[in-house]
Amino acid sequence: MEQKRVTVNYLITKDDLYQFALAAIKDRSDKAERWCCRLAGLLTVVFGLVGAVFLAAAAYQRVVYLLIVFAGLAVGLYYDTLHPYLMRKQVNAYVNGAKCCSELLFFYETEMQFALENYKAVIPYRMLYQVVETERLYIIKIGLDQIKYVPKRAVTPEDCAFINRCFKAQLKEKFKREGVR
Amino acid sequence: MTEQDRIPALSFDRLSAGRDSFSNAYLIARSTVSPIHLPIIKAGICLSLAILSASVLPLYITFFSGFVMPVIAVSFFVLLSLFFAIVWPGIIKGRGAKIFDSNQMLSLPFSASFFKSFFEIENEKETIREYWTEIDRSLETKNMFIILGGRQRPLVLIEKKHLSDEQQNTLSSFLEKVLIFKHKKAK
Repeated sequence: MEQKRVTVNYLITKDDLYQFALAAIKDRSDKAERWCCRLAGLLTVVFGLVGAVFLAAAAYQRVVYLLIVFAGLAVGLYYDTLHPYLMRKQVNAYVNGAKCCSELLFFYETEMQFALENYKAVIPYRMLYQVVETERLYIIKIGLDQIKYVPKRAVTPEDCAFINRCFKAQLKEKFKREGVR
Repeated sequence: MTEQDRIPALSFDRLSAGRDSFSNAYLIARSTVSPIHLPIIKAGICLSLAILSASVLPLYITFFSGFVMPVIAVSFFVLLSLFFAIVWPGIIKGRGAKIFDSNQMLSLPFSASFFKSFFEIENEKETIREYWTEIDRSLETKNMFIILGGRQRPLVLIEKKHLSDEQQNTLSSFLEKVLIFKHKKAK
């Protein structure tokens, strides 16, 4: 291997896992699904408010309409607030229960090398299923069942540019950038 | 790690997994998470709900003088039952096939070495080590061994056609020994 290489060595933190979980869910869930959820929440809130103000004849009816408003808020804000909160709780439980080990990766011009404790591999970029770059990390999908991630905090901006160039050249449309300026 | 731990108790070369067998293994793995995941159980529950809906038909007619709602409920549950019995297994198999197609490493020929505290899968591109303590469970069917829940490879499939009868028995008893209650023989 006489190619230029970038070495990435880091220790996984709780925040890395959280960012990865969020990015993975965002990547997996459909945009239409998220907007449908928000719209359904908004409509429920409007219905509840209209009911509470104009339709409620008794106090208990007003309470029911207000409960509908809260249900609408929960549905509408699920993806933006409730889901990340639940995810953080899950990540905390996972980190407390499992060990987080250091990871070592090498990026070459045409392939990448994983030198992890339980996983050693040299994989040409063309064999990867997909790579997604977000603002904080790279999600490297070897397959749908085998996903790795690299936090960008462990990579210098110059190395990031090199990695992006390699991904763009080798993966073409399989390399996606989401929310990156 | 002692010297003894570095010597594999079992080792198999020239193994491979096909798309169809992987999707079958995926279906078996999903179906055995708990009894509720079995298509036949899901279909049975829906059929029971259809019967329950049909049983309230006389009561409904007495109180509401109509039979539209119970008939809709019965039809819905019967259709749902047919969906789970006939269509659902195909959908799960399709998901398995999609996973297989997405991961080029899965179609590479591999060798498997089984140690006292872990096992290793090695192909042309990668070496994966999974510790028995982290494995969720293993299944033995008529045609394959399926090891589930690994951190690097969630589903490891070893087809029996690549093993001799003696190797099959040895692997079966080895898995029983290392995984104890987590190893199940499915019919």
